[in-house]
Amino acid sequence: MTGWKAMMSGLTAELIEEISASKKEPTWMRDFRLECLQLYKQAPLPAWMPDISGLDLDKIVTYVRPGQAQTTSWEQVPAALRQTFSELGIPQAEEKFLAGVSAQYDSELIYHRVQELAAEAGVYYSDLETALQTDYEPVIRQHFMKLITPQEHKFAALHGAVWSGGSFVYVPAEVELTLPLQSYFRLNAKGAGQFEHTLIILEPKAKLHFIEGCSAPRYNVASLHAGAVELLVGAGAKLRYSTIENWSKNMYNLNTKRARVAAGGEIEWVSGSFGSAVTCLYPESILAGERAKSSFLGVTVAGAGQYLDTGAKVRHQAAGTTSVIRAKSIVKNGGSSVFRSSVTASEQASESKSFVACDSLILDEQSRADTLPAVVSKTISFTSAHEARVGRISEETLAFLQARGLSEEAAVKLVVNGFVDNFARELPLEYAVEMNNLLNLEMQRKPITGKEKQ
Amino acid sequence: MKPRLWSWLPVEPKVKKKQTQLSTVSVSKQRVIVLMEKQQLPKNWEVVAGQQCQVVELFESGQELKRQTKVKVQAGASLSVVQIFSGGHDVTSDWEIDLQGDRASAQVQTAYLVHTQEHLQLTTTIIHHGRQSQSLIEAQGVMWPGAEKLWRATIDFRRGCQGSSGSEKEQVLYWQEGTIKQVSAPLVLCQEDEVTGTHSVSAGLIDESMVQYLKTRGLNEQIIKQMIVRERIQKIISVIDDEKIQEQVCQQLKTQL
Repeated sequence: MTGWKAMMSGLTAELIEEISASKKEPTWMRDFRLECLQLYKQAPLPAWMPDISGLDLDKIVTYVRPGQAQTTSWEQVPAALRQTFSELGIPQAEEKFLAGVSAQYDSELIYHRVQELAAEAGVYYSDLETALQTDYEPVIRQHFMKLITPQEHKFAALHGAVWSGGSFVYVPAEVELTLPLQSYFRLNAKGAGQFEHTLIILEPKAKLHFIEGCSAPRYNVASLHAGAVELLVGAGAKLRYSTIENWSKNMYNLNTKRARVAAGGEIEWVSGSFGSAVTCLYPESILAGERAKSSFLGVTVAGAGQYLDTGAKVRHQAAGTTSVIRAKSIVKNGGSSVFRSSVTASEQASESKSFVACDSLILDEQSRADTLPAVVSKTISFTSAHEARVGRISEETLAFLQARGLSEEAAVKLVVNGFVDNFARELPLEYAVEMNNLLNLEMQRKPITGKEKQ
Repeated sequence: MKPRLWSWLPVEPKVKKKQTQLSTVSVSKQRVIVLMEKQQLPKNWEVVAGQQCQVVELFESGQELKRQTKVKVQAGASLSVVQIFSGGHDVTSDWEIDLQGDRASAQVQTAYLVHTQEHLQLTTTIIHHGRQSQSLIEAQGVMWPGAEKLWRATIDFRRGCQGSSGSEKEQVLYWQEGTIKQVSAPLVLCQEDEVTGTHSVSAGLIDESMVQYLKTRGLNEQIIKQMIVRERIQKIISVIDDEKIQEQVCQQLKTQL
């Protein structure tokens, strides 16, 4: 594998210091990384996690070694992935970047233009390393890994030790950025990838839409992704955070995302999980101020060999807070999907409300879909409602569509597209189109019907 | 791969040092089995093919109690469990029902009143093995400030249980404002595509607009709340096949409201 150097000595303090020095980081950040390294080494794997025995934690150092060209040859990219790129109609240069063949994808101009437009509106937007060298360093120090602490779990500690890349956005009070910021356009920023850290701060009454990831599958020879996203939403501010993650099927995606919302603020999560071997992803909203709101809309599609454990968490900590969680899962070809939700209401969360809905569509008898919702309330004036449904496409629906002239395959596709329609509507047009293409492609790979088994 | 629960969700019931000594009740040939406090069913038993069986569990005296039961339900058989909880400091009831035969069915329906300082822990797992098997786990409850309740319901559709359906639902009413601990965890595990599993939970204070409306009809607030609660719990009581037991349960609950 070109440009890769396997280091079997494990993750050491020397390596962490080397990473920190190469990034010219302030001393506090270096010390923080070293502290996290200790925590990582001591922490056990979380007891509730799915099986990740396929992940070789001793080789993590291979993924974080700075200065290594993490590229491979086009021939080494799995044939199925190359075919997916081709069928999705992705430009060739972009294909090679997404496959890890090229270190550069020509989005630099777009990134700088977006940066300029943001700056004109008074918004600061850059990668986190660059921001650490600016006047924003004290702000970053105040908030970095305070919402997601390294004590939380083993992979949060690992992230704290080896984080690299990611985005920093600062939106001053009462500023509204009308165009969405898209991290996709700076995917080729140095170090973006495995352990990126996103820190977004919205001052009171600010508004922002941030889009992370892309719907095309992204291949990387390294198989662990342990990013972290920390979002601070000020009083009366509104943040929409959209994510489409489609990692290649060798990836263990163990991402942690959390938002803290002040009084009258609002966080909207739009989350699509399509790829990876194993995913554990539960964006969490802490509704800390009165009348704070959160909403989560998620879609998970799990195919052969995939175990996608996704969902959302909400902590109601103040009066008059509201939350809505809506999730959809599609499983097929032996894939497994787990939806988890956790809604907790503290004693202060009087007059608060929560609604959770999750639907799972199982497209064949080899697949598995589980729903594990939980509601914990410590106040009597907290109103919560939850509903869920697991099942397959009904014979009646398929028969009705076939009677209208559709083939069985087309009928299944139509139902699946309708199933995720609410999600697609929340995405910018180009993302929605690409996601629909991806979904259709996945459906084509193996026609699935309810009659197949009979 | 069966998912593991988040660590904060209690997987095993609390183990208490002092527990009520229970005597075992015979289950043979009885259509309705009434389990009073200090009684329990055998740890493992079965409802044979074609048989219909109902178990009525009554919790009322305020004692600490822990019951665990595993039942296999054979083809065409049905098991109905009615749990009435109207008092108890620390009560744990844990049912595991395996619908082994085709067209086997099980219903676990619970009515509970959890008062201040009381702690109720209900765990029900229904496993679907047989084809066209059916399950229902339902709870209707009322909680007072200072009460603690954990309701865990799991429907597990195993591979091969085509045509099965299962439903979990819980409705919790809060009697008045205050601090409580209310945990609801309705889980659906599914390995089979030709099944339907649904669950729903709702929890909240008694609808204020309904209370106001009934007040205008000349009723006082206490009576209105009692009416609303009784109406909900009556749905569960009416499932009991024996009228005498129904009457006994109604009297028991009347004193608690």
